[in-house]
Amino acid sequence: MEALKKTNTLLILALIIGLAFHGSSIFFTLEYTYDALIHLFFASHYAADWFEPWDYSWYTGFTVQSYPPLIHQTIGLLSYIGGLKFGMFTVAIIGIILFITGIYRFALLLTGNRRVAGYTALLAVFSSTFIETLHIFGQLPSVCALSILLHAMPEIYLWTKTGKRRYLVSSLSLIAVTVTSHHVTPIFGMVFFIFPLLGMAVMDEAREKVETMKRVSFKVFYKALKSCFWRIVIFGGCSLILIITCILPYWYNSKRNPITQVPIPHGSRDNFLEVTSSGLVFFVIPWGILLFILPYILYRFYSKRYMFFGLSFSALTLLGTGGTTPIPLKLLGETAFNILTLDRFTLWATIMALPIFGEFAFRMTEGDLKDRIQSMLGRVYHRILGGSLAGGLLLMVGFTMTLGYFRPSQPSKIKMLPIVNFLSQDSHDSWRYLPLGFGDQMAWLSAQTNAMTVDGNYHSARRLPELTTRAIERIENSKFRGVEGIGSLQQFLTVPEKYNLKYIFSNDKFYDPILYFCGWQRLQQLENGIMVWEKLNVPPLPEILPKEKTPLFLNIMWGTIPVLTVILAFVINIMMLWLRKLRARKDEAPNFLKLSVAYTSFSKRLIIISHVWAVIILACLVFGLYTFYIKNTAQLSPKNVVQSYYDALDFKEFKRAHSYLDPEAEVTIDQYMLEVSVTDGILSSYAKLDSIGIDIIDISQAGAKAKVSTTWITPLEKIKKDYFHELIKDSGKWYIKPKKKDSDIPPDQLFIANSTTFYNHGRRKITTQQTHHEDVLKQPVLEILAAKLVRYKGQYSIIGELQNVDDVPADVVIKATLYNDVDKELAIHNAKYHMKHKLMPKETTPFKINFEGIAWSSTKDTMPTTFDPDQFTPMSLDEQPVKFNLQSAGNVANTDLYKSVALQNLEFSDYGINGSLYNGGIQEVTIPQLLVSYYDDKHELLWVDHQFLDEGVRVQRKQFFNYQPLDVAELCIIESSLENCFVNGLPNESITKKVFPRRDYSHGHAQLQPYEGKGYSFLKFDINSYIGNPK
Amino acid sequence: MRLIYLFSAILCFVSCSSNEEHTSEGENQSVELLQHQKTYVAGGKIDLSFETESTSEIYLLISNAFGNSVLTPIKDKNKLHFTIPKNFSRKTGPCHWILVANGEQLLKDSFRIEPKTSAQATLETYFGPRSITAGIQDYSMLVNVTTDPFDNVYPEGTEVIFKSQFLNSISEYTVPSKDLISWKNIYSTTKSGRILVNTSFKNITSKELTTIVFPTLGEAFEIETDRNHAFADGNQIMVLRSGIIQDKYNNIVGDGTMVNFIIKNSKGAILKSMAPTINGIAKASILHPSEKEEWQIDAYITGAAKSNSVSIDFDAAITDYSYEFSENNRLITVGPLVSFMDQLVPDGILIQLEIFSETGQYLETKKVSSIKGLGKIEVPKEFYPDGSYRFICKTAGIIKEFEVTFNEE
Repeated sequence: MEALKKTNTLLILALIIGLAFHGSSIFFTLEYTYDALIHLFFASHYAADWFEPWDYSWYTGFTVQSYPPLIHQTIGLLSYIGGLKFGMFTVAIIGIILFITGIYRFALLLTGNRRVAGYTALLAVFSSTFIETLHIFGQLPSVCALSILLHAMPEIYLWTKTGKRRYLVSSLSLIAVTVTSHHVTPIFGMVFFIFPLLGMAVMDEAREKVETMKRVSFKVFYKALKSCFWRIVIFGGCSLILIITCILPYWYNSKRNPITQVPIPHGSRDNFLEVTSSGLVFFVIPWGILLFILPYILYRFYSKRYMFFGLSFSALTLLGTGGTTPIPLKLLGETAFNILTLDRFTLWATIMALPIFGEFAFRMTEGDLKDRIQSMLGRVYHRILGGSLAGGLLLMVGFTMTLGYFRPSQPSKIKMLPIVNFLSQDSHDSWRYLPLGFGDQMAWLSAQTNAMTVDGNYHSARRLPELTTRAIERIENSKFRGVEGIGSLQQFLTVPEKYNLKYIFSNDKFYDPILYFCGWQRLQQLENGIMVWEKLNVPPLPEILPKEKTPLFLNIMWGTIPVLTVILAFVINIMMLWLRKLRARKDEAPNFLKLSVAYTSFSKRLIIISHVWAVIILACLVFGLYTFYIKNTAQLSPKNVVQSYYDALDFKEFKRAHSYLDPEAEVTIDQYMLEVSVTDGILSSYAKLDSIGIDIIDISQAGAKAKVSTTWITPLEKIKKDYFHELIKDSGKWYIKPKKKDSDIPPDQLFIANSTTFYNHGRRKITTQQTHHEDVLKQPVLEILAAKLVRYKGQYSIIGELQNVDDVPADVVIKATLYNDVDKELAIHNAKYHMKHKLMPKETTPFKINFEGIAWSSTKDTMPTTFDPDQFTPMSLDEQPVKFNLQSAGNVANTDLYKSVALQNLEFSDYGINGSLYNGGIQEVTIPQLLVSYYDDKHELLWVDHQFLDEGVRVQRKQFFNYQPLDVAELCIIESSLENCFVNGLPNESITKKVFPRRDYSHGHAQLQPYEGKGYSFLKFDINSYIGNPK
Repeated sequence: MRLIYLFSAILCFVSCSSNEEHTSEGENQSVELLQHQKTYVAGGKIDLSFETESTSEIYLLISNAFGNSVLTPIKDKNKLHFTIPKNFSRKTGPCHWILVANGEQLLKDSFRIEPKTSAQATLETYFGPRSITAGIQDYSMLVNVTTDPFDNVYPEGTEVIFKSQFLNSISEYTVPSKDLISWKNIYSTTKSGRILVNTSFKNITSKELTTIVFPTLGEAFEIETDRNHAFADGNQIMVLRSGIIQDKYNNIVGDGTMVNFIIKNSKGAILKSMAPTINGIAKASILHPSEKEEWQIDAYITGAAKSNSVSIDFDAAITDYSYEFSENNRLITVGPLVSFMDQLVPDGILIQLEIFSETGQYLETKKVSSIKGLGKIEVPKEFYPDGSYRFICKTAGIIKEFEVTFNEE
């Protein structure tokens, strides 16, 4: 008994190691986690305005009452001392301490043995589930809430057991802190932790009434339950009240803004056998070494005393398997299954198993298991076994810690200061911005700037239907979310005026083409390498923005209760403890210490079962590794080499790609890299391999042919392309035969070109005052030459032609509105990429405006499973549009005015129009776009179509294309009129009269290509060139 | 402002209600204005004094362009002094006042505040649009507002001098103000350039303001071609150049004006190259065709001007070529391709091989570009099993058709 009173050295050791290990490594991991920076952003909100729940920074405004505030407020409070990041790291360190001590107390409660509890604390430091939650996911509130819940467990147990009021008070005070940290933890904690705990308490009560555990029958248990019943009810009732009142504003907000959004796919819901990466992250890592001792855990949990924990543990384990089995879906129901992230069940299961693991470690190192194994299998075997377990544990620690290093889940760290400075300069924060390719670091940017974004990083608070109807977390990473992502992004890019969106910070050049073709232009590259894009003609944000008001008392509750719960819990649990200690009153040992089991004879059968189980697990592991090897060893089979080659190309690892090429072909790495460096275009620079189908034909000993059907995702379109490869086998390895490159050679070595360039000062005088009116450039005058409302394939579009009739280049924005016959507005949209947005003086462009609805606005619509960026959701119009209004606006453009691509040749064949483009200038055109206009026999415009070319056009070279003309016989012109067309707010007619009174229409007609097509007589080709790297 | 108004209204109301008893007594309310000045100069001190026997609370309601207010008097025996606040006394125009007591109007009158023309005036000048088109129709408008130090507009008819400069001429006009502003349309000139303007009043002048006169639409122009030789080698670059394009007033059209060169080839295809002008000259380029061609070239500034038509012929550079089969007929070698001096053609001549099945069904077009005068096309057996095929080879406009049978026994 004396030994038990002493300070537990193992716990102290665990704390020291835990603080040294986690406390130092969080500085290298926490900022790269998924969630930590989001909490930091929330904290910055509280630090700036404690009682105001409305935040304008994200999603055109949202309420922070959508997430329990304690952790955020604590970081916010600490930020007054040493800044936001200081607050975050401090909270993380507090979380680590709370976790280690919490698991110690939980283990002590469960086993009644301080030594075992010490082992548990030590193992908890190295448990892969904790490492993953903290260092990879960064779930600070979840970690803290769970730790405090663990602290509450002994108090709850003692209340149930003894009925002493101080235990009720202390347990409730801790529950209150848990609730204000994280709402899900106490709710599910009630079910999975507290219910079994209460069960165990009752069981212990029953045990005390009889001599041995074996005598505890159902009747005895029922009697004990009756004696504890009211305590349980009181505790349950009080907890429920606390859960409701402590975060009442949260519930109020959930009721008012119910989460009516399309579920966002989460890896924890995958079938882990199919999606092995999810299986690794959400199953293998959290379980780690525990997988090997699963039989022991189950054996112990299904002993009579822990029976309820056993049930809870089994349920948690099952739920944690996600979509691997249909059970979680059936248990939780469709809604809960799609809202909850199931990884938390695994987290709880593994945390719950830790005390048993601690017990196992104790018995293995110094208990009966050691003796048993030594007697059965010898001392050496025991040491080897112990060593391998410890090694396995350390391996998992190392693997989990470095996962983020080898497979970064986030883009590398971005220096935010240049962006923050840019936003605060020259009133740039009067518009909204959008980061692209920032990962979760966007939250850190938001925390530092006053400017607002349309995006956000807390998807439950999304409000814009453009976002809530799609399964995307952020627009920022839309490329990973397929059609919904890019579709959502395109909507924001096409109609930025609606959101006052003017600036885009692009950290991923993948998005560049879509930005260009939607009419955005590069502004400057910041010193941290981030490219700033801007859009002209976007009005600034209004001074007063709408917000949702919440009652004052709720705001006060939200601002005060969470911190109060902490102070109260501190007073009740720690101050009281000190006071009692100071009074030197002899404290009786907690009740549960009496119930420890003596570890005397370890079951032989269990050892055998455990060994069999371990062998099975090892076999699975070896098999997994073997299949991984077979699949991934590049040159083992023809299929592998093709797969690896395309994989290397996809990830731009050209050196690796070159290593798969036939060495006999004598293409040196230098030659190969050169060939790669001169290929540019949407496929080679902006495409992501979506799927690859490899057909191996004619396989023989020495060679094979492969037909490779690929689909590539580009920001603009989904491209399907087939390739053929010859493969050869040389000394056991398969190789790809390199292909011949286009050998076209331009005649000249040095090209000389003159060009007209433009520059706009902005403001000439450096002043913070409003721009002088004489520094505001006149809007270039445009003239709409034709505008028609047409219906084609059941979809309404407005097509037309427009000319820049001014003397300066113009950036053109066109907005169209549809009306029915009683002038009711039906739809509004802007021209996306069916036009040239930048026009030189007197240049013309065709245009087409498609009326795009918000995709899958009805959540019932089935979503396609694969990526298709150019998938189009036509707006569903209830009524027939008969009229339209066209508003075009010009602004002086001075970039992206490259016009030196010529239509070099055209040939008309039965299988489409073959042509070639020739680049006669000095910039390399990365993505050429063809705009094809269709005209009838009276030279009247009928339709506008487009085609992006897969490959770029290099300087002074040709690029071939094939265009399949459409059948427009079905097309119906509903209205053709220039009456309601406006340019810069002025009627188009007045411009025609004033600027171009004697227009010669025959010029336009003479430029049309006669072509006998289905429903049309003429075609016109216009060329729009995107330059990826302007020089 | 609204708050003040509301507050004063409440004040009135409260005072009215509290003094209700006094009114009922039917007290003598005779009040007399002590001075009768009808005009004041903005910014000066304006005091209104009244003499009255009444003991009730008396207020002065004032109202002018600045707004409304209620003033409380400074009492001096039986005299009441009201000082009009600065905000009101600095605003020109009529200023109405009403003297009230117990909610009843005692006296009512108004006076005028005139701009302070004795102090130095300020000129607010606007000129726009900032660019206009040469000719006789377009104009920029020069607007001037003369104000006193309190931003009050000078009286109607104030004469302001407008000056404008274009090339060597400086014009001067005297423009009297009407409806608060003086304005004049500065008409465009037929010559392009820059018009500078300013305004002045007494000894003050505005800053210099500018409008640019851009040339108007281009007129018919000439084009020419420039090429190294007349052979269709598909490699050399031909330059399409316009003469200096001018508008009808002989101004060179604005830099950057887009000129479309439209080429009609002998097969009826419309090709095009385009270029913006620099100093009126547009210079576009296009490759020589790769086969014998006749091109008719026109250039347009769409809607405004058209060039002369230029016809240009290209002679075939490659007059014939041979082809041979190897590797069981599966490797077709086209060439050597020789050009007009029997030199090997530059690399990159396109060789197209259209493959048809025995039954005449189109299968595929294989394209290769020549290297050292040769083009090698492989027809792999994996995709083309043994049998007969018809091939059409197109190179430099020369079409050759042949049938090949693969038989690999």
